[in-house]
Amino acid sequence: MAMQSLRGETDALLLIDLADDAFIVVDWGRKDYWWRGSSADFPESPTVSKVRLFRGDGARLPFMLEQPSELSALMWLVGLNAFRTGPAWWLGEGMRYRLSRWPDFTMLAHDLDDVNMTALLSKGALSVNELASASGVEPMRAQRLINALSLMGQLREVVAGPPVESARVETAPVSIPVTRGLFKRLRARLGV
Amino acid sequence: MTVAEHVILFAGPMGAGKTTAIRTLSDIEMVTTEAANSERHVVDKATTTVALDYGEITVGDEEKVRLYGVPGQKRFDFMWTILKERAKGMVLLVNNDAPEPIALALDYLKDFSQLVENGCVVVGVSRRDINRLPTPDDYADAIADAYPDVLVPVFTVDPRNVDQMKTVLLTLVASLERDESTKELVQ
Amino acid sequence: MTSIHNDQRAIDSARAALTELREIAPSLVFASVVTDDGFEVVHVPDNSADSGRFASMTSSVQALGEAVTRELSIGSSGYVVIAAENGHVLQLRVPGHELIFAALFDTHETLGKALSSSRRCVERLAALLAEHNFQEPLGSSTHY
Repeated sequence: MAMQSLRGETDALLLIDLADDAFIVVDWGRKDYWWRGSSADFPESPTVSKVRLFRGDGARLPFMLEQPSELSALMWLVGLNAFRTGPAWWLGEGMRYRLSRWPDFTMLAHDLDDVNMTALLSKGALSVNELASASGVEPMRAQRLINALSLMGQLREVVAGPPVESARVETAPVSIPVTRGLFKRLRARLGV
Repeated sequence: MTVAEHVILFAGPMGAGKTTAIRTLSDIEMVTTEAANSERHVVDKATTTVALDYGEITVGDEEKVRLYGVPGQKRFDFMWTILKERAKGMVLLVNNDAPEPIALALDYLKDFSQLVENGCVVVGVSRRDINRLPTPDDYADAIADAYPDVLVPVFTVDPRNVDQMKTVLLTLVASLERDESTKELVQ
Repeated sequence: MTSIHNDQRAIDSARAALTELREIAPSLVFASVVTDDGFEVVHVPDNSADSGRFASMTSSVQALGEAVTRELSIGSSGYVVIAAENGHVLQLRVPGHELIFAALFDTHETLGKALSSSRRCVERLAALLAEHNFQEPLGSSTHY
C-alpha cells in the first residue's frame, strides 16, 4: 500500500519493520532496497509490524550500507503475492491494460508464461480475462501479473470498450506467419 | 529438410558478449571467425569476430532457429547489412562498462532501425556486475525517446547464463509472434 | 606495443614486396596486406579508394574460407579466389604472421600465373619481415 502511494514521487524513504526482527528499507529515489531477515529467503507472507514513510526532497539514505537490491524485484514479489484473491485494491473495474515498460525479467523470479503475457500486453490493450484467454492461463494467473506490473508502474490503464472478439482483419490472402506457435515450440525445446 | 528457419541476429559492440551468448544457446558447436585482435588497447580481448558467428537450435524435425553474431566493429558493417536482411529479430548486447553505453546502444540501434521499429529487438545489458549504472530503466528511457512507438525490452544479462539467455531469446520470439499476430487482434 | 599495421618496418616491408609484385605482374590492379582482423598495413597503388573497407572485407572472406575448410576438415586453407567477369581477387596468408595478402588481377592474367606470382610475393614479404627481425606480439600465434 505504501509503495503504491509513492508513485510519481522522486525522493522517499520507506522503513518497514517485519515480525522476527526483520526489516526492509526502501530508498525510493534510488529505486533500491535492503532487506534483513532471519532466513535466507524473502518471506512470502511477511507480517508487517510498523511502516514509517519519509517523503520530500532529500529523503534518501545518506550513504550506501551495502550493495542494495533493485526495488523492482521487491515490487514484483509484492505485486504477485500480496493480492492473491483478486485485483490489487487500486485497480478499477472493467479496465484493459497495456504495457508501458518491460520489466527486467532476468532479474525477477518469473516463468515464461509471464513473458508471453507481457508480450501480449506490449502489442495491445487487454482485460484480465482477455489476457488469460489469449495466453492460455487461468484468469487468476493473469491477474497476478497485472497486479505486479501495475505496482511496478509498468502498465497503462485503458477504459474498456465493447467485448473483444477474435475478429480477423481482412487483408489480401496472407499465409500463416511462420513464427506462429514458435514461442510454444521453442519453449518446449528449451525445457522452460 | 528444414522447412522453417528463423534467423536471429546478435549485434553490439566488441566485448559485449555476442559470441558467448550464441555459444550458451547453441545446440551445435559454434562456427566462429575469430582473428587476433590488433587493438588490445581499445578492448582487451585476444580475439575478435571478423565475419560472423553461427549457432543453431533445432526446434523440431523441420524447424531451426539460426543464431548469427555479427562483428562489433563498425568497419565490418557490410556484414551487418548482409545479415540483417535475413534476420527476423535481433538481440543487441551492450556492455555496461563501456564508456557512455547508452549512447553506444542507441548508435547500434540506428543501424538496425527497421528491426527496432518493427518491435523485433531485445536489448541485453552485460557486465552490470562490474558497472551497476546505468540501469536497464535508464536504457529504456533513452530508447523510448528515440523510438516512441515501440516498447523495447531491456534486460540485465550474463551471456554465460543459460537461463537468462533463454529468457532473452524467448522474449524476442514472443515479441515476433505478437508482432505478426497483431493483424488478427482487435486492439 | 605497436600494432603491426602501425609498425613502420612492417609497412615498409609490405610496400617493398607489393611494389616488386607490381613490376612483374602488369595485370595487377590493386594489392594490399591486411591484418587478420581487417586493418590495412599498406596497399598499392597509392591512389586506390576505400582501401579500408576492402581490408575489412578481406579479413571476413579469409575467416569465412577458413571456417569452411575447418568444417569440412580438408586441412588448412591455401588461398581464396573470387572470380568475377572483369577480374579475380586472390587472397593468401603471409606465412608465419597474422597477415593476409589480397590482390585484384585483371583478366589478362591467368589465374595460375596470378597465384604463382602472389605466392612468391607473400614468401618475399615473410622473408623481409624476418630480415627486419620483426617480432609478433607476445602471445600471438597463427590460428590456422
